[in-house]
Amino acid sequence: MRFEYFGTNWLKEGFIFPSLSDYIADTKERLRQPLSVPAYATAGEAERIQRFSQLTQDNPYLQRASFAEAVRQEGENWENLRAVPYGEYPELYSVCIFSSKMLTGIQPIIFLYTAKTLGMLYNACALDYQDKVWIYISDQLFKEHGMLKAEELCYLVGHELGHTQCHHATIRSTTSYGSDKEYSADRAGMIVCAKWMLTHIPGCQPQYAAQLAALYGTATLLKLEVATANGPDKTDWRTAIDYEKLQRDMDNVFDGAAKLSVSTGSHPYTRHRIMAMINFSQSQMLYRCLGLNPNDYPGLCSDEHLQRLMSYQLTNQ
Amino acid sequence: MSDNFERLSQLLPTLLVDTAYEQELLAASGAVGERLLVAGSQEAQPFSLLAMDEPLLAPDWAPLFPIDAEYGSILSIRAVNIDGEIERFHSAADFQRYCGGRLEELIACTVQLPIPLLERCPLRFLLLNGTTFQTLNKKAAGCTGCVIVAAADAGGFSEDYQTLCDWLTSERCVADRVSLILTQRAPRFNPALEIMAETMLKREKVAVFRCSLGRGSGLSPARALDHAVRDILDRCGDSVENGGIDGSVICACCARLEEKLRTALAETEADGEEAQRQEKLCRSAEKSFHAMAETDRYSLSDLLTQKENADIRTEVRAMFAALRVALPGLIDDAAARSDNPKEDLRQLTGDYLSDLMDKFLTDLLMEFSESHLIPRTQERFDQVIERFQRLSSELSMESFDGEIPVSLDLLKNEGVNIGDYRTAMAVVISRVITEGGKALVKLLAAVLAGEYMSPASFVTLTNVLNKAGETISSFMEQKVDSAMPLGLYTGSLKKAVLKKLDSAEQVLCDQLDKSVFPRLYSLLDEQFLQMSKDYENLLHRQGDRCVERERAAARKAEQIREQLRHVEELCPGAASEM
Repeated sequence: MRFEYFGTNWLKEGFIFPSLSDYIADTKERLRQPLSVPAYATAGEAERIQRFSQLTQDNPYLQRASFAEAVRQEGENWENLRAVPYGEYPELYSVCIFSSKMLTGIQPIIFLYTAKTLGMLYNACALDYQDKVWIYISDQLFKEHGMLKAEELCYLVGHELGHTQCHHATIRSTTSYGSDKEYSADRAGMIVCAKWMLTHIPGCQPQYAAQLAALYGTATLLKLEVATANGPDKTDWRTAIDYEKLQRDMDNVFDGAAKLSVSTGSHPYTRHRIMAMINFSQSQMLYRCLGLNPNDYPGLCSDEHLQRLMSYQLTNQ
Repeated sequence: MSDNFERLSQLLPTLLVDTAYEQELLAASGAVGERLLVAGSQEAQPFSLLAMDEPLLAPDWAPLFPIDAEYGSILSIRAVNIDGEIERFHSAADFQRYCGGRLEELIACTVQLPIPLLERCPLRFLLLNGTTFQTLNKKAAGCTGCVIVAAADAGGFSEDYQTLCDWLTSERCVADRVSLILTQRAPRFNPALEIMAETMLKREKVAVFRCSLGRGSGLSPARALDHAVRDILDRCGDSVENGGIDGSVICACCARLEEKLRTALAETEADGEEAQRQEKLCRSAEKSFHAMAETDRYSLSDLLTQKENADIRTEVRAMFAALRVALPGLIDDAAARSDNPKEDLRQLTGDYLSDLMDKFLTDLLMEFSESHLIPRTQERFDQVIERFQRLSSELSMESFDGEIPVSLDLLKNEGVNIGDYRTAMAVVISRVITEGGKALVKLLAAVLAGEYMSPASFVTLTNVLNKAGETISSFMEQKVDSAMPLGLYTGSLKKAVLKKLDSAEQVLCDQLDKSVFPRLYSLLDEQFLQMSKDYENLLHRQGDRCVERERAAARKAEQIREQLRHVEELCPGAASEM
């Protein structure tokens, strides 16, 4: 049972509060509903979501407890939480609204935080519970001038919303995490990033947007890594990333001409994620998620093939 | 040709006024050598004068193209048809045969005749028909004088003759080089025609020759033509050599040009002054828009009266009061109907309260927006827009492309097309306030979370009360054994929740004062300022355009003055002669 409009003429008409009992019954029913599986989820991801959905049949408060635990854990890493009004960070606001429309369809509440740990300094986070979504972004990302382009911000926010859409925070307290959770979130980030470019760059072709989405995804990962390594305010973001060189490196990787060079990430896990993003940028799944007919674009890899590539990566990382 | 003629013909295409006519006129007088025009209307049939032994054309044929007659040792007729094909004939009979039914197709004709007169001066025969200066400039181009052919028994001269005479006297300045042939088919004769002709040509003693085209006394056509032509040539001499005609035509041209240039100059100067006046208006409008935005602030802080502000708080307090009364009953009811009452209450009482609060606050703000804020804001927006519209109509801002800059970023963000702005305005405002209101509810929640809960707290009002629920449940876990009887359990829960409600009410009322409404006003204020700035920019750009127009007009006026000087040099005092 949802709250209907009470009207504020309660003074005149008397306050009639909805029944707590009905509210409890209704909420429990909703908490027992199976969780949705996003279109870009890997096979393992989909299976985990379904398994969790079955558990909630017996324990409807499982999701709620997971959410409370996630909030408690994340909350230990930050302070000075404040909502982002439109006027102060118009770009961030636009990106968040855009990303939410693309993925969750729920208007998010956007917060900036001041990180208490290095891990959260160059980071963001998203949480959801029932019909609410919260996006948290580190204020450090905006203190350092010119750190992230709009496309990269799209990737970052899309990535975090991808986590919520795949119910990672909800599931983690009950099931062991799949190692592919970052891969799914990266896909969500790329979808938002590509759609952003298709919407905002006049005449942008899907192939170009897909390729750039992988590039900006990679650039974002590298930037966050570089920033964390250098420490706060130590990086000159005008020269930190050579996009053209990065693109050449990524093209070589795709052509099988070379392995990822050092410039594309020192952390092995990051390199695997970049590989996965390159694969996804050439996949039918991405085009479908962008609302396009993949058959119009020959040479894309099929869902099965993409899954095989992913399995190969997961076993070799 | 004279130097002045040359200079004028070069000057004409460069002038800033339309000189098509003057160029034609100059071209009409610019041919080398003597050539006379023989012109008359249908009744007089100038072609009949061409009759040799037999008539060149049948008496009722009337070609509308000119026929050039030149000297040749034998008769030779050269006809050009509409396709540019040329046919030659050596007898009038052949030509007449060819023309039978095909006269319409011909566009030009040159006749060579063994007449000694033509050796001295070629002639051009033209039938007047709806004649204008422009057609005369074309058809009589290169003619240096004119033999007017009229019917002797006519009551007067038709308009075509009037036009021809005006052209000869005022445009071509060859009134002296005109003679008149009156053709007679019947014995009747109108003695007033000579005087009329003199009046039309504005001169005395026009040489008149009477020609008989059948019955009646008079010269033969050939003799009459011979006399008329010789009269002009002998009396006036060769015009081409002395250049007198050129000079007069140049003066006629210059007079026209000076008048045109002076009119253009006056128009340009007026345009410049208008641009200057508009620029001043734009600048002052821009300033006053800015001043209004800076000083008045559109009275946004007075959108709600004190009483209305107080009403909102009364509503909040009343809601809390009612909730305090209702809550124990609601909890008891839920406990009675649940199969797992302790767990359900522990998990969801907080959620219930927070959802309730969230909804109540949103509704409250929305309702106040709809009943008070939206109409009042609309009024303020309308004032600004009306003001701008009044100004733009005063400034006759045609270049203003009709898109009123409603700079509402939230709307832009949605990619909504603002076509009909007046309808859109209401949508915009309600959306600003709705979005703003919703954001504020959430903002308020965040403020609550930040100020009153630990940093690890939940982040919306929902979560504030979730947290309360959590606190309650952990309190329960610590203090109350879950094996505790249900009545005791719910009693403790009620006590804890009611205590939380007390502080929530206080926080809510404080935040409405400190945060919600000030923020709402500042949100609207931002939108107003932005809108006002957009209008200012529009006015500024319009002002810049006026400056540009003013400068362009000044440059053009200077050019016209310069050209006027050139024209005056060519023929001083031409305008005063007009």
